[in-house]
Amino acid sequence: MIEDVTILCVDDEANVLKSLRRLFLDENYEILTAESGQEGLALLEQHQPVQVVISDYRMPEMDGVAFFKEVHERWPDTVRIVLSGYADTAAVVAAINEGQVYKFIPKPWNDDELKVAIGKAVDVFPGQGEQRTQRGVAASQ
Amino acid sequence: MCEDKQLILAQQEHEALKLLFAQVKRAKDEWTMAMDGVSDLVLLLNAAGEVQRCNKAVCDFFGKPYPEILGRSWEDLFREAGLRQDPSQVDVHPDELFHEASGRIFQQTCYLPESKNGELRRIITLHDISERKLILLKIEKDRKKLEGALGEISSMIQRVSAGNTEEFFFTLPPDHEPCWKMMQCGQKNCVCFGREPLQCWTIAGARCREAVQGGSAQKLNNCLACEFYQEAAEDPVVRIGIQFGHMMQIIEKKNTELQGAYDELKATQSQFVQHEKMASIGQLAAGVAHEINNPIGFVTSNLGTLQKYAARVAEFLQRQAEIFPQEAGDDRTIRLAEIRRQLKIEPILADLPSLIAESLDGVERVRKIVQNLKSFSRIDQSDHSLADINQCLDDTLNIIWNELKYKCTVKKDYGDLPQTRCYPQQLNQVFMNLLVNAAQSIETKGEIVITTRASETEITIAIADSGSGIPPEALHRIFEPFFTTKEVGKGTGLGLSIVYDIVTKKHGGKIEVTSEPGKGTTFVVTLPVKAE
Repeated sequence: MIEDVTILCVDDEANVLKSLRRLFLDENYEILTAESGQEGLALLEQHQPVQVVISDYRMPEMDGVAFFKEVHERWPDTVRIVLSGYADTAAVVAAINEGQVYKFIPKPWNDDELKVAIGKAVDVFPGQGEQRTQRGVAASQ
Repeated sequence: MCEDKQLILAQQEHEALKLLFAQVKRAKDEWTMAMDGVSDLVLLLNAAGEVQRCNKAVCDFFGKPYPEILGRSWEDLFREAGLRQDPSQVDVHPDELFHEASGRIFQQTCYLPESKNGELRRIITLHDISERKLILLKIEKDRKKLEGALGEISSMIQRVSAGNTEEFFFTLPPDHEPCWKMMQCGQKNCVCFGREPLQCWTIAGARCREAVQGGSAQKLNNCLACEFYQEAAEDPVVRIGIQFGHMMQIIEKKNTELQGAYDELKATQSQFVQHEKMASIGQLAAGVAHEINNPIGFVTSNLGTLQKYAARVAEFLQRQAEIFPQEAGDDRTIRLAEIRRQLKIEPILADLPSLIAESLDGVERVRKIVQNLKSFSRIDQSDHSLADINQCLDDTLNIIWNELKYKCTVKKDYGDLPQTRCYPQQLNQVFMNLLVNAAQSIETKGEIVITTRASETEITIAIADSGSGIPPEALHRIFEPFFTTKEVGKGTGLGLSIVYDIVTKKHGGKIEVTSEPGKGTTFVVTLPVKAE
């Protein structure tokens, strides 16, 4: 089966990345993981298209807002999701305004909610809905 | 015989005369002595004003022997000696004479003795009043000084009291009659009528005008004619007394205001400190929460995945057992079954779901604690926001549960509440203070009942405890800052004043308390519903 959906997860905590990877074990998603914003940007350059980018907000060196800002500038079609335990209103507002963030999911996350959110995000990605529907049909056959 | 007789008679006459003469001389000497013993100057004048007699004081004063003075005109004598009215002194009494050489002042008195033969004579006395005069001058000078000082004090007090237009009542001397009695005032609707002797004339200026329609002019006149008013107007001491009393009232009033302002400031400052503390706890909590949320995030997620994995492994083993059932004689299946038993695979498989469920439950509890900590002292929600009061109560209960759980059971009777715009973090503090107080009032074991209700416009939150209650004499003071019944160092006396401040000032609500010693206390907080 062709993995037609690629998701990039960025978090400075490797354990978070590993659990996210496990979470999508049964989904046909290609999961890319990066432990910093810079690493994430490098991965985005190598792999295209990436439909969904999930990132922590508070990270050393490049924080989530700066990362998403650059992602938004260079790959505007990506759907961006913040996954963070830092529930500071100012941070949320900055993330949404500067990084055009699609959703803010607080840590600790609920697995099902996160899955639903990512499923929706994939649909939001331009041209993806059609493919997904086709895939859905294919899967049910 | 006859001659003898005559001789004897003559002798007798001579003796009598001699006696008479001696008597006259003695009288003259006594008078001279009396007159000379007097320090005043005494002069006897004839009609022409010539000196006929004078006493020794006169001779001494003029520095002339007696014979030289006799027959002289008194006016010439006085002029020569430089005795005259003092031209430098105005207002001086015409009878006062000034002696330039000695600087002495005399009071001159003129007597007109009755005369038997119609001859006009005068007696003039000069009495030295220099000392008395000096004392009088000094007294006058002092008096003027004092008057000046009193005037100064009076105007100083007026300056201090200026700008205070409120009415002040002065107490009259206790023996003073009230004006209505004194003036036999018939105005029974006057505010002064039947009153204690307050200083009616000050009321007249202010209150009568409003209270008594029409009759005020008459009343004012009466008041102005009042003896006490006039005395006060004239006597600086009385006036100053009144002004001073007036000033003291102003000072006392200002003092009370100042004290009030100071208390409020102290309370505000303490509240500020408290807020600061809460804010830094909030910051700390938010920081810690972030750090904790990361591991909770992946632990929870991993446990979920583990659940899934375990289910699959269990299913795999199940299927394997089905596909390779233990058959007698099949050595491999018997060995497998043996290993299964040795590794206790069955009980492990049976226990795995509950192990994971318990772990998930534990993580969930940690998540809740962190969330409560965050929502309790959340810095990002210290603004006005829509909140559910029941949720606020639950958040607070979660935080302080450890303080409550050993002492009391908490009964929640929550009504349906609309979301209301408020400061949730501050309300959390209100509920925390009330609940902790309630728990502290319970000595061993008791109950706290939390009731919430909503009407169209108001939300009421009642927190009732079965504690020791508040004595009636303390009940009206409990919201005062720094009022505490706890031992020194145990309570700040600020908890309820902060509650009061947050409820009334920050939310425009109100707080009421009812208490019965021995039975318990109920606080009822009422908040207005603000949809937007």
